[in-house]
Amino acid sequence: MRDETAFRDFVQAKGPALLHAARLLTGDHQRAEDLVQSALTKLYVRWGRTREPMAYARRVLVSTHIDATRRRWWGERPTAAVPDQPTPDPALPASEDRDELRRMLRELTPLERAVVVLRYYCDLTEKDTAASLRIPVGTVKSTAARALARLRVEVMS
Amino acid sequence: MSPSESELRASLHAGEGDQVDVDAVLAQARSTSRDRRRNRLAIGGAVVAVLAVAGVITGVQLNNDDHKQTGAPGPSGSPAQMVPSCPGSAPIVPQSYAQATGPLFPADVTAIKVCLYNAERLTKSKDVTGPAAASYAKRFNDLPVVAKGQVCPLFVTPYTIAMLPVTPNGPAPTVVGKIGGCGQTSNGTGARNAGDLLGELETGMGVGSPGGGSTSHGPIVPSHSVSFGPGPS
Repeated sequence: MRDETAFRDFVQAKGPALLHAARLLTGDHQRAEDLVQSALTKLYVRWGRTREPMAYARRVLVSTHIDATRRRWWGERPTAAVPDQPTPDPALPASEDRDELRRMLRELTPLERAVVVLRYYCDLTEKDTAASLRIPVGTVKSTAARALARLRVEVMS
Repeated sequence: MSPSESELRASLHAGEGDQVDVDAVLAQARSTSRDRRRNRLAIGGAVVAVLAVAGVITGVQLNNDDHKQTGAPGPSGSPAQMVPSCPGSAPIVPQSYAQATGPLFPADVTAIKVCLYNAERLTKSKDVTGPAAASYAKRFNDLPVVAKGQVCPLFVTPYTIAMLPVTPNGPAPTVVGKIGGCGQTSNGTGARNAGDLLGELETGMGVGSPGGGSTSHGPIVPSHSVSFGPGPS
């Protein structure tokens, strides 16, 4: 029997981080919510059978996102009616640097964005990032270096 | 000035804290889980149904094959239950040969199962029925009785013909003839030298009806001749 209370606690505790990571990956709040919903649904189905739910949810999140960017033809279709766009909260003074970084983040490839999000937002090691993306550690290193170069971030040696 | 790694981290963390609607997530997850379970059951049910149908079809086909085999007509189309089947190996000519003066076949023969053996192995069989059977029976019976002390040539082939007569009262004693030499033929109570008739029967088995023609297994020597080598050409 699935422990729904534990699952509910997990979503309440880790949901915001997953949602924010999804927002960084997709660059869109609506798509981020769909992505989180999809990842949490897959986690729910496997709930009780996975030892590290957060690692599993993160892995599903990035792989679902990368898959979605590959399979455009059966994903969402463009529409003439554009949904409401989020407007920045005037109470929060937005940093120009932050906005610039977010804008540049959207210009990265899905894999580069996933590596940046996992390494610098989720604070995963290169090894864990590689495990989450199911790619070699060397690929993580080279992809991260390329992404940071495109973001013009100074890497501390 | 380029941002540093720590600035990148700070930038990425900015704006986080939005809550996820747990109830909506749970409702969607439950629904998806239910659908998956239903789909799995449907697929499993479909597989079981297909296997069951395939099993039934196979069973019916096997059953039909069995019926066909058990109800198959005899080799010549005559009623299988009337004519007995050939013995598995060649029977020997009954030993009371020289003293047997009775008929080879009963007068009321309705069918004769003719079985041809090469050495011990059954090679061919044929059902002779109706007037043809009666005619053969009469011709065999009309042959002269074997004279006492008659000497037959040593020429012997490995071919044996067994004839299983059928009368309205049931099967009659088997008549066995040896092709070659005198064509010794006997049923135990009657004996004839029937080389010509045996050869004719053997040849007839190839053409499907009794008729003339010489045997392909060497000459059939007439009963009155004596020879120690290959027969006359």
